[in-house]
Amino acid sequence: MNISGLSFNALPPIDLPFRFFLTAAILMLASAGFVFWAGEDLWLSRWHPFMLALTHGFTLGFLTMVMLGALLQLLPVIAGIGIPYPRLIARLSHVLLTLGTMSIMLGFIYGADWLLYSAIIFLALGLGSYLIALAWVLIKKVSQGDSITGFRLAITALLVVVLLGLALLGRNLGWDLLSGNKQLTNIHAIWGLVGWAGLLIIAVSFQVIPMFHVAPAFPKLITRYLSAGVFLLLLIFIFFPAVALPLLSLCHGLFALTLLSVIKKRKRKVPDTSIRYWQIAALALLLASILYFIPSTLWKMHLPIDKELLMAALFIYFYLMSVIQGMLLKILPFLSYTHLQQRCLVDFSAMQFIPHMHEFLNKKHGQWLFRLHLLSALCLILVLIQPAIYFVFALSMMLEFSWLLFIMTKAMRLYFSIDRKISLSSKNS
Amino acid sequence: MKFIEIDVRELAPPEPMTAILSALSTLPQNEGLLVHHSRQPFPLYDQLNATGWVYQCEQKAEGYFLLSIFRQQDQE
Repeated sequence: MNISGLSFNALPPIDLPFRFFLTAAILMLASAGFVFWAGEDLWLSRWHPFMLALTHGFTLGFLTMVMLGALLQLLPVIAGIGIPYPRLIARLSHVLLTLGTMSIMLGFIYGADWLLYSAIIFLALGLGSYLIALAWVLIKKVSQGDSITGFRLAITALLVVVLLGLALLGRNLGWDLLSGNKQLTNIHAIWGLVGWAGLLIIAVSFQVIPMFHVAPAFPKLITRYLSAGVFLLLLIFIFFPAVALPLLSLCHGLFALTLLSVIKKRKRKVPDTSIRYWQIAALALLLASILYFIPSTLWKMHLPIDKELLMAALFIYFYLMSVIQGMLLKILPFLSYTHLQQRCLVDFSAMQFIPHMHEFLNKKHGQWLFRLHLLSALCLILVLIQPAIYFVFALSMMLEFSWLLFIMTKAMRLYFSIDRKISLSSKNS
Repeated sequence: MKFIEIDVRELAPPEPMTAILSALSTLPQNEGLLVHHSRQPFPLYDQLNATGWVYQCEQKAEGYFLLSIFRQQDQE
């Protein structure tokens, strides 16, 4: 029954997630420019400061940026909750995360202390404010239990990643917070990729695949235990990385297979680019899980590519980024349409102004984005083998993210023009 | 009260919302709408509250919710 009083069920204004999505594409264009400028050196090792700048461009500038924007809307849709003061928190964290990402990238590139100090301040305040707002709602009892557990674990992982990341940045500035060993950087990286991004995607997939693609629910064993299992292994990783990593690989292989099986059983077998994104992501995750088990000595003898860099490329660019782009293709038209539809409850005649959902995002435009993503992902693998062709990867990234920016801008412009029409019509009636 | 029934369980978003809105726009006075849904349509709730509708949602099984919507004045 209706409950009166304060409610955070309502969808926050659509311009809030839109600004996160647009900025993510722009920061990827900046990252592409950086790849072009940095040249071959960037690809020498995962520890090269340029490589650290690029991975933070991908993970903070794109993955985290889109995920924070999408969570603003997804939580109210799938769990009936949203963060308090959404305008304030979203605007604040968006600006600070943007400045923080730029500062940390430039800080790694130029090594200037003031840039690293700026990164610490912006990222601590930006991610901190969002985390507090999210924690405030996620500690409450809400419905859709298994996914909410996943969200809680992902947010906890983000907290660990941020704290460790800030301490590691502090170490670059000479603060004696942590003793210098590479395992701390590994913990930061694994908790960020597998904990924050990975657990969030697992939790989101449990909800959005059955919902958007009319597929069966994920098996109970997976929804109930996978997220907690991965989180436990992340804790074990801190002390016994050699024990945790193979088990984490197995868990992700299992998730990839389950994902492919649930997608195959969907009732709506219409051609859908989002589904192709999920499938390529699942296949890449499966491949990474299998490749992990090739011994390093055998790898070095037979494969002309650095194992760690290839695993990171498969996980970040083929898995996480594919899922995020597939989700963007789904949620951009869906959110635009849903926001406009909600206005029709006040005035049913406004329904005449709402175009078909596909008009917000042309299917062919989505297919082109998928092709461009595959192209740039393959170029990334090639550049890991032959760094001299770095400019090909930079160019493919520029194509991909200019296209993403174009199709997002097109959808948003259509949204705001229909929104104005509805407002005018309500005023006149 | 007489109820008109719709089943939106096999529709992908945003079609369930479209079907519910269409049904509400033509709902006769003193009649309610009964929706068979696969999940709780949370974003709809606040809008229903704000626009003079009353709803009740009951979970019938895993992935099966029965949502009834009617006008505030019909309830009084």
